Amino acid sequence: MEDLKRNGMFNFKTRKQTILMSALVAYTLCLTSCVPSQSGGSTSSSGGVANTSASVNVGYGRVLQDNPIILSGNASLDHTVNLNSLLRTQQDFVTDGQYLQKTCVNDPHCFEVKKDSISSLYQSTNQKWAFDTSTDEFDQVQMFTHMNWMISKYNTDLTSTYSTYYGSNPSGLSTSLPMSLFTSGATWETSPLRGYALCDDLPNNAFFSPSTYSICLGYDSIYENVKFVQDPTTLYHELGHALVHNAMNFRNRASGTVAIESNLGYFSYDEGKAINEGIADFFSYYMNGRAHIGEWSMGRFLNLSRPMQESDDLHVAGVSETSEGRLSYPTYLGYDPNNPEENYEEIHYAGQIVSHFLVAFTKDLETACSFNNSYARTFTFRLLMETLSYLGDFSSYGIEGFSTYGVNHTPENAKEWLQKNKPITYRRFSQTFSRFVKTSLATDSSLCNFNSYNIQRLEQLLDDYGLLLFKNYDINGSRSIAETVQKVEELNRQKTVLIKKNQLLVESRSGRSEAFIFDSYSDMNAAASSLTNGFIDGSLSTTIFENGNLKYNNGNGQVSPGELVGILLNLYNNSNSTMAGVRILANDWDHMQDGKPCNNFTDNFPSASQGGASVALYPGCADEALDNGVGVLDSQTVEPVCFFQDTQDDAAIWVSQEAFMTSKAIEATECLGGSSSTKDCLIRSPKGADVAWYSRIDPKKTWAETLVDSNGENEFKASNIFFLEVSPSIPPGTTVNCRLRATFTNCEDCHNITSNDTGNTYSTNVNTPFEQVGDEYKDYKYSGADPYKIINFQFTVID
Amino acid sequence: MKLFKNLLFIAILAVPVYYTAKIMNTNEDKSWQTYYKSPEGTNVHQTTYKEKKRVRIISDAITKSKTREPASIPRPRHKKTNREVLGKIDKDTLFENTPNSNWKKIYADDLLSKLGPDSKVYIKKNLGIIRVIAGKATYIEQVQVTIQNDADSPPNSFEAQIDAQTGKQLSVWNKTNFEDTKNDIIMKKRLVP
Repeated sequence: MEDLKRNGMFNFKTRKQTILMSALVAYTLCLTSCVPSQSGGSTSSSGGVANTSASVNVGYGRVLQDNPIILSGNASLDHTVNLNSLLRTQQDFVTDGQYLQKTCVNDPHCFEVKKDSISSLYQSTNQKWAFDTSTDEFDQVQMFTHMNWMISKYNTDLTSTYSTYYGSNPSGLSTSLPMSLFTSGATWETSPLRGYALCDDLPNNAFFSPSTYSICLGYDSIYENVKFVQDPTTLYHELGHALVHNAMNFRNRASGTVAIESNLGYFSYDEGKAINEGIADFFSYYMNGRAHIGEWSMGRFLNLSRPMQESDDLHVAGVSETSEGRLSYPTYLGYDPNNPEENYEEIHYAGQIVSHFLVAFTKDLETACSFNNSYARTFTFRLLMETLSYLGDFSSYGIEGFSTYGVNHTPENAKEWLQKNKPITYRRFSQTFSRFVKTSLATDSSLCNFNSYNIQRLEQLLDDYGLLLFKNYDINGSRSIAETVQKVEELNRQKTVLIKKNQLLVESRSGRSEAFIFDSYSDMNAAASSLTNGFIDGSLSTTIFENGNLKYNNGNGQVSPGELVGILLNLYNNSNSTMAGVRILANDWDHMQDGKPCNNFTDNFPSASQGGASVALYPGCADEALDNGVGVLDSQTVEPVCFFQDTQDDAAIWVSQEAFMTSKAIEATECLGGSSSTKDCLIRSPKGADVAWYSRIDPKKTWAETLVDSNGENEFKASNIFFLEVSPSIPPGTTVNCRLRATFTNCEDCHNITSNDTGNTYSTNVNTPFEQVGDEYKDYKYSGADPYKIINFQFTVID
Repeated sequence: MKLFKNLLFIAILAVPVYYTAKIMNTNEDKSWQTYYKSPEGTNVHQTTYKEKKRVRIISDAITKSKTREPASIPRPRHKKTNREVLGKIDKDTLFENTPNSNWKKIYADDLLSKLGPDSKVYIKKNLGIIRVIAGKATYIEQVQVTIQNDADSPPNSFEAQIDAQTGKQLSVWNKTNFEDTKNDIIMKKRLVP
């Protein structure tokens, strides 16, 4: 069935197989209609199974085992198809209860299914669950049964993984799974997972909501009888998001010291979200071993189904399972196999790189460890659980039993690091996944059927996917301990391209803008509404609003007093390779001392005569904040990115916002965040809107040139723009400098300690004595300049 | 007479003290409340059964009866306020804020002031905590929020931490993950240098 073409054509081999299979099915149906089966199933007059309560035993019903395209073998299946004809005669166990519910009392992995949030739980007084496929009841049974299968598999496989480390014969290997994983109930939320089989406000849509712990499945907007619930692969994808969420929070729930939960991805587009989508697709393969998702719900009428292996017929020519033909990063980040000529920045398409890699890795395990496909899928699942448990850890230890922080900096900074300073990128994901392969399969041959797993094969496969983006395995994370850095074999990096950060420039070609400023009244009011809808951590300043609308936005394309503005920095890729996962940070960092901007960084700005603080006079400039200004480990502070030009003794100098306030007699009560927030009194980037992401920038182009559509237009998401709130109290004519930091995923010199001069003057950190060349930067370094390219964005506030 | 006056004074004083203590100890109402705009300002009512169903809020009663005990290791509680404590409180701990019984209304007002006129905000307090960092303690309310911008669009949910005094949002997470992201901000423009 994997050979099935999505365009409605079969190859001859498939057709022959299908005819034979159909004949076999027809023969079987004939037999089962003549001889009563164990379950009493029979065919209806329309040719399908008469799925009535009389035909099943107590606790049983029938569900579609796969989606209608696969079950029928007909890629052009009509929306009017009688789905009863695709049911098998064999009964499926549903539940012994009267409701579609696994109660939390007896089952820690509890869940329930209803038609939608408005309906009550369906009650079956005879505890039989067979319904015609056109009914709402069938939809609910279909969803419940597949949820049950997937959650049971998750629980079984997780238990088996856990027992490797904590069972009667423990391996002794290190793991990110907490010892109290099961006793603390960390594998599941404290409330039941709720499935809604048909949400009438979700045409062509579905969701997983971690805050309400619910999954909602929609329907096709044109053919409303085509429901997403009829396609189990779509449910597996959504449920996959829930399992990703669980794994990201295994350590947080078990710790007892973490109040908030971590998410894999935070912005409309970021690499964490793309990876999340890729893993969610993989969960469909995890369940059914078929490397394609959504043939019916997404693919048949919406052209949105997604393959997970290069041999899929949906792919364009040139994509293949050879080293050259793999769906590699960053080339295929915006690739839609259904519309290959289009060019998108979209998480589902970008996520295909991850799903393809995971399927290829699983198949490679079959060869390397003599696993069957089912066990190989389970093993990949296990590695995913460990990877996510580690990366999502807000208690910051990462590995069970470690007593010093190794991931996400410190608990106080963990969300800031995961969301902004050191997020989960393709690099971090592939590095961490590989770390767990290295410390499990490649360390203990018993895990690989007593075969020796050579880590070189993983490195080569990663390189085929352009994912050998890291130079070492970062075994101990950010812990400061004596260790031998476990390096990648550099010769394996054949396809993955790393680019120096000095190749990322602000646009300077003649006639081009350094930045585009969005300040129209309508756009920014819409943006303000979206930012308030769970997007930003803080709240937008009331000083720039009046009667629920922005008061000052004038749409003149400039930064004016009182405006909320979106900034799209026009960055240029000066290299000959595609730069990817580009991030611009406008959040606070350690770049000032005693209210003066330090000048010991690569930008050599500002000079002492312009108000810059030198290391000689301000030694604190040479120290990065050890805990990002929290104040536990040192007294170094982090400061807002924007500082102001003022005049002193007839000379222009750069000063902090507080110094500018004093100079211009601006009262603290006028500050954007109120009188207690004077550091970012006049211009601030709202927390959570202080990051911009660009999926990729092609060589010798800007992002806008890379992703321009055929009409010469660009589509901007909130994630492409960082926002600034501008105080109405800023005098027009004021010049502002925002010292931003930028980095990208395939950066050569953004992630590791090197012997080369970084251009930033920092003292040796006595608190972390084990930093060594070749190792990853410790987490505290991300409060400073070394992992980033500094970009000074200057503008004058104009009324 | 003087004794009576004193007793009366004490009795009158005792009422607000009692209720303040009660609010702090019970950690306030933990049911869903609906906030929306009207010409008179922000209106609030207990979220109705109908509203809960429409925006996919689980009934408090159902949640309670079916929810297991919290999964993680129990956190220590502050005796005076019955709040969970993250960090360590000692005699030198400096409290940076004090709980304000009006925090939820202030928070809802702020959200509504930036949302469209037909928006409704549903808020439920999940937890009251005291977070201690570097010897400084902050009273924080942890909430679940659902926002419905208009009757046609699906509601969006998230969790947030709120300053218990100022009602200011401090952090958000667990936003609904829609497959089709058409509800996100998208602007189409021709970029002219």
